Amino acid sequence: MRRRLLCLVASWVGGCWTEEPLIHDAFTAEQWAKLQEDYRPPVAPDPCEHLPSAAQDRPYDCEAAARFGQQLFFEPKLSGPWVKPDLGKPETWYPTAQTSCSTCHATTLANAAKDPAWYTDIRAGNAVSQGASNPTPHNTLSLVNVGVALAVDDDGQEVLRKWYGWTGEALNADKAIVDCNTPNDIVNKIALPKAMQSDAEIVGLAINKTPAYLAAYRDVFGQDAPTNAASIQQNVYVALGAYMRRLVSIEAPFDNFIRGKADAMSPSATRGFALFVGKAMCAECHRGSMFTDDDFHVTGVPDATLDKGRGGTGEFYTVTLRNIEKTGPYMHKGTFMNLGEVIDFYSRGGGAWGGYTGHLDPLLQPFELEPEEAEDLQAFLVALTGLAVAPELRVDTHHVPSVPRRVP
Amino acid sequence: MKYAIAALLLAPVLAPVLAVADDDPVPSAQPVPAVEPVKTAEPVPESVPAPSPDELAAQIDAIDQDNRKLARENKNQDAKIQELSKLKSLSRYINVFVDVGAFAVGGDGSGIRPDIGHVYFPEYEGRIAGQWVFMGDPLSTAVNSLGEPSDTSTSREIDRDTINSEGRPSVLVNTIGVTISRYIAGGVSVSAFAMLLPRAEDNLLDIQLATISYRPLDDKNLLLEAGKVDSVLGVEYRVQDATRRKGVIPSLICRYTCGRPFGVRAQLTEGRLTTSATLTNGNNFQQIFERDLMLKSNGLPTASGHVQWMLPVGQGLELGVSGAIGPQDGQSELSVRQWHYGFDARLLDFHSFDITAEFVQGKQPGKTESMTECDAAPCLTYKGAYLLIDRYVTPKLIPYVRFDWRSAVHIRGTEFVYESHTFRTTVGAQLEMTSQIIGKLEYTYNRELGGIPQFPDDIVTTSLVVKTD
Repeated sequence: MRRRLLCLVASWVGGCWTEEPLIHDAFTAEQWAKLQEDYRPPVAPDPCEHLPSAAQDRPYDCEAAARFGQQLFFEPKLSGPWVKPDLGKPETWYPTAQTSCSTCHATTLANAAKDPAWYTDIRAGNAVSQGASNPTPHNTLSLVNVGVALAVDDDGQEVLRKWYGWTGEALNADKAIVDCNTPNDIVNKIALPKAMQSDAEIVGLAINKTPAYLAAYRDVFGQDAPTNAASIQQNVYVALGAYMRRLVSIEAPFDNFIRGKADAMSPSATRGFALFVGKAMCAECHRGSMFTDDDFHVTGVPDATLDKGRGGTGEFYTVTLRNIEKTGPYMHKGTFMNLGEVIDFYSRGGGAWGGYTGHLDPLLQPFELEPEEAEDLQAFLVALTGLAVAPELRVDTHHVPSVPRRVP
Repeated sequence: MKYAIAALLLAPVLAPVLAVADDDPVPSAQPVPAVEPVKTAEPVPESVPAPSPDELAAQIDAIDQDNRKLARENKNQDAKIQELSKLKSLSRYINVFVDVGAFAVGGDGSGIRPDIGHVYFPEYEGRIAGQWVFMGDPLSTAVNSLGEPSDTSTSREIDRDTINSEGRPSVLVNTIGVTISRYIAGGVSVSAFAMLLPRAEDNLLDIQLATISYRPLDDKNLLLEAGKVDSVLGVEYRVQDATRRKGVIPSLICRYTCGRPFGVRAQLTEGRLTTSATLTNGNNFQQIFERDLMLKSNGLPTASGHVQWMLPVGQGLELGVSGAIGPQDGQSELSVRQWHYGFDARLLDFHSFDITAEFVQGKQPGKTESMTECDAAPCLTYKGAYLLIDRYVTPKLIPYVRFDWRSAVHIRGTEFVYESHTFRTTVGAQLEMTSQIIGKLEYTYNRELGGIPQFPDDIVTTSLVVKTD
């Protein structure tokens, strides 16, 4: 009662009414506890878990598989298409071997000097790659953290993503739509057949014709590469998976912040987090440890090609926001070149410019954002940048045949 | 009479001139002999030479001009007096009041907080964004008799943040009120009440009342009104304006009973029984924040009624029951009906105490046109009550305490939901310095209920009302 009276007297001074102190000037204790639970820092995946089985279920050396996978990741000989030989040459077709995984998913050597840590295509003028709805081009998704689980449940089990790729689907050989529920599906249904225009025979050829890869294959799987191309392809997926699960970048400033270290993020980023889960409502889709609801939405990104997205609905996957600062351009078409443009787009409620397929998700509504608030929000997104991928994993190790020394 | 007033007004001006004129034995209109010396009451000193005939003629001309000038001024004064007499009667039917206040509200000045992370109302997760799950009452931080909240925060329902204090203490001209009323003839009279609200972003003109009234029977207390009329629900609507309200801010349920819709109204008093009824375009909700609904038409009117019985306790114990039913506002389907009922009691001057209590309950069922419930028209369920006790400590000093409570859920599709469960305690005092100057000071403690976290939204507000009647 005395406190109330004091409040009455001191009302003009202000600050008497704080029934419950707000954490970071924004959250009640219960809200903060839930946010800490929802945004619990992710755990680096066991690099040898959740990999596809090797051919004939043979056991394999996971570490050696990852090294082999790194070589193959940068190896263009895995790609097609088959082409006719020049006139005058033997009448056999051969693969063009121009495209590797790293062509789209790794920085080029030219960009390596700028920022070599991030596996995504940031080459000017080539912001998109051949994607799920081939021939519709999609922005290349980063492979960093592709193996990081969305969450770890109470039993310690990893909760894995249900969907991969912008639409979570691909066309099979019969042009039927099939789901992409594992990274293997993406490689098997999109990356190799579509983006790299390859097939099992080309993959088998690349291994069998390269002594260094034959040796590596033997080290990993304990046997010589079989003549069966399908078996080789299956084991190549194992090696690529073992490598990609090591492409991890977590422990961002935000992770320490959510653990309770208040000064881990700048005041601006802290305010930005309040906006992220509050007024800007980013968290309605970008939620959880990996900042994704693992679902699809129509956000109304303008698209001259009227990309129909998942199942023709205009929906696209909610991508992770971890390392978002490093993975521009943004959206499925690479429409926006920087985060400011993205924030501006969503503050207008998405779809402001029309030119998209489907019905805009009702969660997207315009909201007023002061310029300094937009800066705060951007500061928070930058605070989602984790530690760089280990340097040794960023090295192009694919086999380059030595040029025979010319004998004088 | 007017000449007498004119004479009084002009006396200071005319006195010297009249004095000269009275002393003048020669009427100005008559010619003055050119050679005869002018006789004066006092002998002319020898040192002063006698004026020449030309000088005398000039003096007479000057006096003649002054007379003409005074005659003109006299005529003007008469005209002004006549104008003033006409205007004087206006004061009988134009009244003005100005309500100035200062306030301070805790937190960001708003009475709502978003349920970020769906912590407190997880049932809306996946349906309505946490930012739009609003906990608390958006009008619970009202700071004046209109019920304007000091800030609406990110409210999606109330898009007019008229004060927008953002939690800062402030001084505000709450209302400039103008009331016009006049009896015409044959039992017919007209009246209007307009409010001017000087606000930072938008000066508002709000026509609160505009009625044509008719008393058809000499031997019955029957009043018929048409236009923008008063509500009939409960009792608070009768004293909702700053000049009449005890205290500063309205109760939490005034929003449902204090509206002034368009329609017709009838009231009949027979002995201790008073019956009132209205047929109006829409409901009786306050409309200051819903201007787009002021001229709404639902196809059928809303019918409202109130029956009151007065018992001989103190100066009178009024017991009333009221209700309203009609198509829900904001949609066109007649079968979607909103309803409201309430009970009220008012005890007047019982050992210097006035006690007022009300309870209301109502529902707008809403309308659903797609997969999302209540998307075409919002769903609203509400109930609330208040108890106001005030006492005349002296004829001029009235301390009071009010307890009010409201529990409501308001949903519109995926756009928003308000979970409002609030209990307030208001203590204050009203000092009637003169019959035309009233000062008020009160403190309101807002307590959130229903699992809503407590947040700072208490109110200190004042009001100084100066009126002409």
